[in-house]
Formats: sequence, structure tokens, C-alpha cells
Amino acid sequence: MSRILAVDDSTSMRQMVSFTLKSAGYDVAEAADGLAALELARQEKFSLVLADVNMPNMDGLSLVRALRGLPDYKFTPLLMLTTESTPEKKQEGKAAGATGWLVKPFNPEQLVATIQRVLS
Amino acid sequence: MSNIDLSRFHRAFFDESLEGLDAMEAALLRLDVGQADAETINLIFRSAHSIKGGAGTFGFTAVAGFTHLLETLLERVRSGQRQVSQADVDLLLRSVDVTRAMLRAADGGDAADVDAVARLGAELEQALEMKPAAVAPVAVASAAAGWKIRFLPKSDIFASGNDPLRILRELDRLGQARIACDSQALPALADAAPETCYLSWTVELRGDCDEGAVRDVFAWVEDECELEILPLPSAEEEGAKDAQPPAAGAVAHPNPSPEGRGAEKPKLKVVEGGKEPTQERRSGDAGSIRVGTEKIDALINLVGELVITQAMLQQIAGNLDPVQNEKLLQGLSLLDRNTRMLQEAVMATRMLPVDAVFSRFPRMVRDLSTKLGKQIRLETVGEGTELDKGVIERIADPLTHLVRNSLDHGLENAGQRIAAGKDPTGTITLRAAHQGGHIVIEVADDGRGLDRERILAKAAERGIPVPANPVDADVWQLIFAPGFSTAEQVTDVSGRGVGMDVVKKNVQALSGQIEISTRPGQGTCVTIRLPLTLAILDGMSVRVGDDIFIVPLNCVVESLQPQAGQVRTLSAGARVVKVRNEYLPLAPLHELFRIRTDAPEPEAGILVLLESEGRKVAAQVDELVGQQQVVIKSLEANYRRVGGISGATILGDGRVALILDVAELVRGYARAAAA
Amino acid sequence: MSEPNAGNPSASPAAASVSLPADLGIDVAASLYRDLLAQVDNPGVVTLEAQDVARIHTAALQLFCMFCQDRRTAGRETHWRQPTEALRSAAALLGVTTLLQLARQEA
Repeated sequence: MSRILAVDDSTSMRQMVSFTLKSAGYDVAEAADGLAALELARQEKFSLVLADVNMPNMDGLSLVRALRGLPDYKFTPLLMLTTESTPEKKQEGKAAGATGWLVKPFNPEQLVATIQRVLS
Repeated sequence: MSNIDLSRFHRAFFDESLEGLDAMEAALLRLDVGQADAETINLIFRSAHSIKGGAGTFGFTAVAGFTHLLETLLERVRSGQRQVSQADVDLLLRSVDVTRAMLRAADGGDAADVDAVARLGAELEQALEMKPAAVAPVAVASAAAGWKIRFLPKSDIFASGNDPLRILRELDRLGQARIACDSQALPALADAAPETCYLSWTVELRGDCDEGAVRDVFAWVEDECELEILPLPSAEEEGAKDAQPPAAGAVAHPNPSPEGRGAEKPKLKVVEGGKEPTQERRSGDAGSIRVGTEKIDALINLVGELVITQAMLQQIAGNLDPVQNEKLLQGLSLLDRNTRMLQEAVMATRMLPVDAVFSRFPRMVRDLSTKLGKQIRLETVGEGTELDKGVIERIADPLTHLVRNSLDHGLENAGQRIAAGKDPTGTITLRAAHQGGHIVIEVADDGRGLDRERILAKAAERGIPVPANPVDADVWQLIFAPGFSTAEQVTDVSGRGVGMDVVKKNVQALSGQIEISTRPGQGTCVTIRLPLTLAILDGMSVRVGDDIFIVPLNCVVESLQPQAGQVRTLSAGARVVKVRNEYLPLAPLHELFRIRTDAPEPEAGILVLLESEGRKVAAQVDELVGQQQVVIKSLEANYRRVGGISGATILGDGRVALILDVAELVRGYARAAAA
Repeated sequence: MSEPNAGNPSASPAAASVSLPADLGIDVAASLYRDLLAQVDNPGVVTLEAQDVARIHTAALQLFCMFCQDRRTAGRETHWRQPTEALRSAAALLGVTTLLQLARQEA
């Protein structure tokens, strides 16, 4: 089963993402910020990481940058969860090594559709 | 998938959003407009950003729309496009209020003021210089027979986690895709790097999809490929059998521009996010859970019972032969220790940092100082000091009043301060600290200080009794007398009606004490001493006949054995006792509660002088038993309300002791005296 | 991964097969590359055992393209054994069905 790491400092968003993906049959681990996520990612290899951009301690961009530096995450899909739909912000995420992004707000169906496409 | 009910996440969303707003407000208030520091700006931005994201996701569109404006403004500040001004801070603070109201409304509270939301929204738009109605044209769905797409991935596209296969699969879903692979660039296997992309593709996509949909498929890899999207010639021109004709009136976009879409969004320059503040946050939510206070209170009650049972056992064990019962006594002493520790631990769960009240003052001070035209700085010390949640809730009003008093009466305006050779900016200091089993909260200002002559004059004018030859401390106490106000005119800041007498009453209702110290020209400091929790009382136990009463220690002034002649009987049969130069009403507890006494005459008993609300009485008891902490049990909850009694407790020997309601006692005698 | 394949009727002494794992994600591209490189110059028939393939990345398909192209140029024969639907549809989407000789007639 594909195991996904969901990273967001907002409890409600994390719960929603996690619940939705679990309902879709994925195995989900959660982290509340980039540092915690990095710690988890070092312990096991996730099939996909879904991270908020703005987080305390370590933001999403730094997390993506750090993950891309790990041999296990060289090619792993790393998606940013963001409300910024401006080209610059996405560019920044891409420059950090993100695979793509999911623009908030999104509904559970959109979330699952995106993840399914990436993990198919 | 469509049956996921998002409402299950609403609670968490509201809670975290309101917390976010508090954090935002606090950060806005400490923001130094001249040189806004990146971390504070970031924190403010992040709060708005999270609320917007959650609101959109959970379907609170009004909140999402409003916070989007907020976020856009903050993004400009964050990226350095906009210098944050004082006006911006004001606007943002008001936006915090509006967002809070909208969230409360969404959470089932009172409806938010729609006009206020609209007005502030318009102000934000104005600040952003957004053309209101001139929303950029949403790219017209240009329907062509289809699209011819050239997709040349860069060689390192795999390293971004993207797979061209996924992209081609998505394209294939948009219509009928004829995919041709260009394998010209493939090297010999021996020369290849396995993780490099050598292939490229040309896709003829036929079907009813607009260019935007095609571009969306490539959105993630825009910078990792060369991309060319051209409309296919229409069905008639091409004669292609599958192609659908373009919809009437729709025009194929001749020169599709990628900038066409999303133009309504303000163009923002984004700078590197920078270091995120680490100290702002308690590490994650994993370390805490939310528990209803009623559960904790039930726990506290049970522990209270346990403490009492334990004390009972201890007392019984005192009569046992220590040699024969050594093991039992050892066990009991261990039980004693563990019970105390359990009690402390349970009490600690109700404790909150006093910051929960302190945090409301920066905003208040800021708003009021603007209103009053004074320059005022607020300093807080010891915000982390913890005390019972119930105490925190009930101390907020008295503290608010004290801070307002300092703002309004205590601190001078800049001109007066300069004339007095002081810093033109006045300072109010809120300080909290633990002292023994108490918390001490100070509200101090460096203002003009109390004016002895003016207070005396005012007291005389108001007919407030003044002791003869009053020392300063007596004069300051006059402020707490009902009906006293030092303001020359009633302002809309301190208001009318609520005076220092109410503050004192509230503090005493919390079993607390309040004191004033002041130095002319240098400032005033009001000190409040409170018990850490409302569940435990520091009491003095007194005996009347066979009964034990508990007197809250904070009301006890002194106790004395009256000399013959010190007690006098007045005409109506009421008796007074002369203590130094004061005549205090005598309150024989055995008469009040109609119980037996060993010492019917005051001279045979002990007088305990009690004070509340600025008035004193002398309670007559048989004997002082001692001081102890007692666990308060509500009499009303367990029996019914009894006059003169505020509660009960269970003593170590299992007997019930009633806790004296000193305030009521004092008021009763004051009424009798007035009658 | 490679082993002599005695069951193939047209087998020459050097005939071999490469058995492919279920997951041909990018993570295994490097090891797949090594396995294919070891057989690319094999003068005998090389059979790609594809009955397990469930997931596949462009990187892996691209390696098959180079493998098949190199061998065809050198006049060497390559067979697929039981290519799965996952493999076939991926090849079709990448437009490399012909290049990989994955057209339907071969079972």
C-alpha cells in the first residue's frame, strides 16, 4: 500500500487530508511541521509527501529542499499544499524541488484525484 | 469519495483559527512600524493564510473571501513590496476583529455584521488598489477542434518527481490523443544515464476541451519542459471525422498566452520565506488534548474527597500504637504524600498562564491611548505565571478596570509629562508572580500618583467617613469606598458606576486582597494577591461551642481578647467594641447561628476582627483552633444556601465545618447600623 | 535476475531472460539498467519476463526502448513474455508500442 506523509501545521487541514486519503485506501502519516516531517521521512520511505507551504519551525519549501537531498527522496513526488496560486509561489516551490502543488481550497474528491494520478 | 462530511473538521478549524487570530493580533500589536521584523510579519501572514486555506476548504466562503484580501495585503508586506504603515496596522487589527466575528457567526454564534464586513473589505481592496469590478476576463474557453501539443521534457524532469507518463495519461483523458514519440535523442543503452529523460512527444488531442485544461495538465512541469500548444485546424478545414466543430461564437485563441489566466490576482513578488520563528509555537498539538472543564472539575472534586478521607485516616491512625502498627502507619504516610502530589497534579491541569488575560491589554492600551491622546507603553512581566482557569476568568474584569484607571487617571499626557521632566511616553506594567501559595498581580504606572489632598476633599464631598488623622494608607483605602471616583469628569474610558469598590469586591470574592502603593509624581501600583485556585481556601478555624467555622484568612485583620469595658452596648441592644480609635460592631457567632457557646460574654471569648469591602466587624468566638488549607465544597450544591455561610469543608476528623461569608456578615451589620 | 532459458525453442547457448519486478518505478531504474546492460550484447534471444509488471515509470520504458533499439540495430532478437496490461497501456501512452515491439500479435 502506498504510504503518504501529510504535513500541515493546521490541525483541521491535516485531519481532513489524512481522513480523506485513508478513506481512499492510502496509509497516511501526519506531521505538524517540516522538522517533524523530515524526522519521519528519515525513518521510512514514503511514496508521496504532501506539505503545506507556510509552517513554523521548518516551512514547506525548506522541507522539500531537504527531502530532495535525501537519496530515498530523489524522485519521490513531493506536493505542496498552498493557497498561493501566483506563478511566483509555484515557481519557488518547483525551484525547491517540488513535483507539483495542490491549491487550497480543494475538496476531498480533488485531493484524491490528484493523489491517484500521481501514484498510479 | 463525495460522501466525506467535512463538518467533522469544523471544530478543529474554528479553534485553531481563533487561536491564529489571537496570535495575529498580538503580533500586530508588537509590530514596530518603522522596522517591521520579518519573523513577526511572517507569523501574521501565516495566520491569515491558514484561516483562508481552511475556510475555503471547509466551505466558509465569506471568511475565505475576506481573508484572501487580508492575505494579499500581507503578502505584499512580506515580500517587501509594501512598507507597512500605522494605517495598515489599524486596518489589519480591524480585519482581525471582523474575521473573528465572521468565524463566531459561522460557528453558530451571532450573525456577523454584514455591512462591517463589506466596508472593511472595500477598504482592503482600496489599500490593495484593486480595480473593484474590473475583474480580469476569465480566459474564454476557446474551443478548437483540438490541440497539437509538442512536449519536450528537460532531461532532468524525473528529478522533480514528475513522470511524463502521468502527464500523457491525463492528456489522453481529455479527449482522443494520438501520441507520437520522438526517440531520436535516445543514445545507445551503454551511453545512457538511467534517470535522464531522452524522449519527447507530439500529441494530437481531439475533443471538446479548452486550452486551459490542456495547460493545467502541464502546470507542474511548465519549467521542466518546452511546451507548444497550437489549435488544430477545425473539422471542416481538416475534414477530420472525429473532430467536433467549434461551438458557435467561440473563437479559437490565435495566440494563446499563458499570462491570460489568473490575471485577477495581484502580481506579487515573492521573496525567500526566511527563517521561521521557532519560539512562537509549542511544538505541535501532539503534546496536548482538549478536555472539557467539567471533567477536570469532577476530577478535582474527587481528589478533594480523597484528601479528606486521607486526613480522616491520618487522624484515626494518630490514636494507634506506633510500634504495633508500624507498617500501617508507614503505608498511611506514603498515602499522605501521594495524595498531596495527586492533588497538586490535578490542580495543575486547571492552571493557565496569566497571559490568557494579559494578552487582551496590548490592544486595549493601544486603542485607548489613541483615544485619550496619550503616549503609553505597556510592559508585561511574568505572563507565564499560572493560575486557576476560574480565577483567570474572574480576574479579567478587575484587571481591565485597573488598567483603564491607570490609562485614564494615572498617566499624564505627553505635555504634562515633559513639563514634569519625565519620559513623554508613560508606562503601564503588568506583573505576575507566584508568592507562596498565592499569585501576586501588579498593575503599576509611572504616572502622577495619588493626590492625598484631592482624595480627602473628594471623600468629604461625597460624605465618605474618614478616620481621624488618617495616615497615607488610610487615605488610599478611601478609593475603594463605594461611590468614590478621582476623575474630575466621568470619561468614556473609565466610565461611570464601576468604581474601585467593585474591583475590591471582585478581588475579595476570589478570596484575594488588594493593596495600593503610590508616590506623588512617580506613579501608582495596585497589588492583587490571589489564591492559586478557587477550590482551596486558606482558612483560620475557630470554635464556637461544638462547632468549627472556617474564616477566610484574607479577611482576618487581627484577633484579640477584649478587656472589660472595651465592649459597649448601644441603645438598640447592639454591641460595639472599641479597638484603638474605631468602634466595630460585635458579631457573636453563637447568636447569629443560634448555637451553644462556652463563652457567652465577649470578655470570655476571642474577638476576630474581620474586614471586607472596607468595613470591619468583630466576630466573637470561643477559641482559635488553627490555620489550615481547606477544600471548598459548595453548600448550595449539596444542601441549600445558608445566610452568612459561603461554603463548607470537611475536616480531618470527618466533621463538617462551615465557611463564614465575611462580606455578607459585614454588609448585614452595615445595614443594621444605617437603619 | 538473468538465468539461462532452456525452454525457448529458438534458444542459442547464450539465450537468456530478464525477469522484471512488479514495480518498475524510477527507484529501480538504476538496477534495471544494470540488468539490461548485462544482456544488451547477448547474441542469443533475450526474453523480458513481464508477467508481474504492475507499475511503470517513463524511465523504465525508456530503458526498454534503448535496449530493444540497440539489439534490433545489432540484429539481435528480443522477446516479451506475457506483457501485462499495465505495461502495454504505458507503452501506448508513451507512443513506443512499435519501438518496443509490443504490438498485440505477440502474447
